[in-house]
Amino acid sequence: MEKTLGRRHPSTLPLWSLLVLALLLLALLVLLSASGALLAPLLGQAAGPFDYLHEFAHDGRHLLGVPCH
Amino acid sequence: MVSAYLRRGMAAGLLAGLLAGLFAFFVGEPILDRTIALEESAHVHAPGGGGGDEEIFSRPTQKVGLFFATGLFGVTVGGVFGIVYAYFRERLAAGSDLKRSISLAGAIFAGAFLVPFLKYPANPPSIGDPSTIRERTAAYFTLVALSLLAILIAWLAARTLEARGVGASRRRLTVGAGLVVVVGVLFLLLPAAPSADGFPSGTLWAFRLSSFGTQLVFWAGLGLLFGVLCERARKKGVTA
Ligand SMILES: [Zn+2]
Repeated sequence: MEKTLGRRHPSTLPLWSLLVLALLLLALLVLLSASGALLAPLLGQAAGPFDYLHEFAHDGRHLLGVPCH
Repeated sequence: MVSAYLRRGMAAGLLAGLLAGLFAFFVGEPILDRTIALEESAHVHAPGGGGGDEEIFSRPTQKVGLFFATGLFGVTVGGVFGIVYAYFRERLAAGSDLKRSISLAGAIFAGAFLVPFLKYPANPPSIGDPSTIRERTAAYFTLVALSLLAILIAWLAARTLEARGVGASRRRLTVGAGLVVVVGVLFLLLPAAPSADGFPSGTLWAFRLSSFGTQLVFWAGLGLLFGVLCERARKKGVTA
């Protein structure tokens, strides 16, 4: 299709993919900075389980170079 | 077509994440164990320092968690990479999907890890005051975002200069110098990295290098695998 039209305008992203992009970035931020202490102001009591995620992903976060302690 | 890139990105990212996990397991973990042993012996001598932090998971469990972390990191970063690639594909100059994929991965590696690493290198446990973790995390992710933005602007500037007929070597020099200045200003403006005084520097730098290697394996793996998946789909005649 691109070839038959020759030089056309480069594509833009559909809305759904921008939403997926935002969700993925949010998930990444939670994974990499996940700790109850950091998320408590946002989530209150619900931040508790993130302590487990934080500790389980602990070695990975250190070795990926993200601040942890 | 974006969904195909998203899928390939997540698949390539998962594989690259597990490869990075393997590197981290064999190269990084032995050093991390050493730094934790150092931390614990320091706690014993500290006044009133009993058990230190309460451990929710044992060390072996945390090593399983390493693969969970790098795998999940890989899937999410890979998904982001796929969507970003779908946007930039027709805008990148390189001649093939493999070359485009590798140059995009290289650019994001530089912005998301390499530049921030120069200012805030990876640290093993016990470095940094736990009460400042919120500020340090914010500073780190601010630098990641601004470095990525600086790389994007450098790329746009290079394209503009090219369109104006500026030669390749002058273009590289101008954009490179501009990027160095911008990164230098960012480094001056952001808060200093936590002090690692008193930590044996051999172990410290071994840890930092293993962290660097983990990220390098990930981004090299992602760029290569994603490019190969795209090339394979093209050869099969699947429209991307
Ligand atoms: Zn830690």
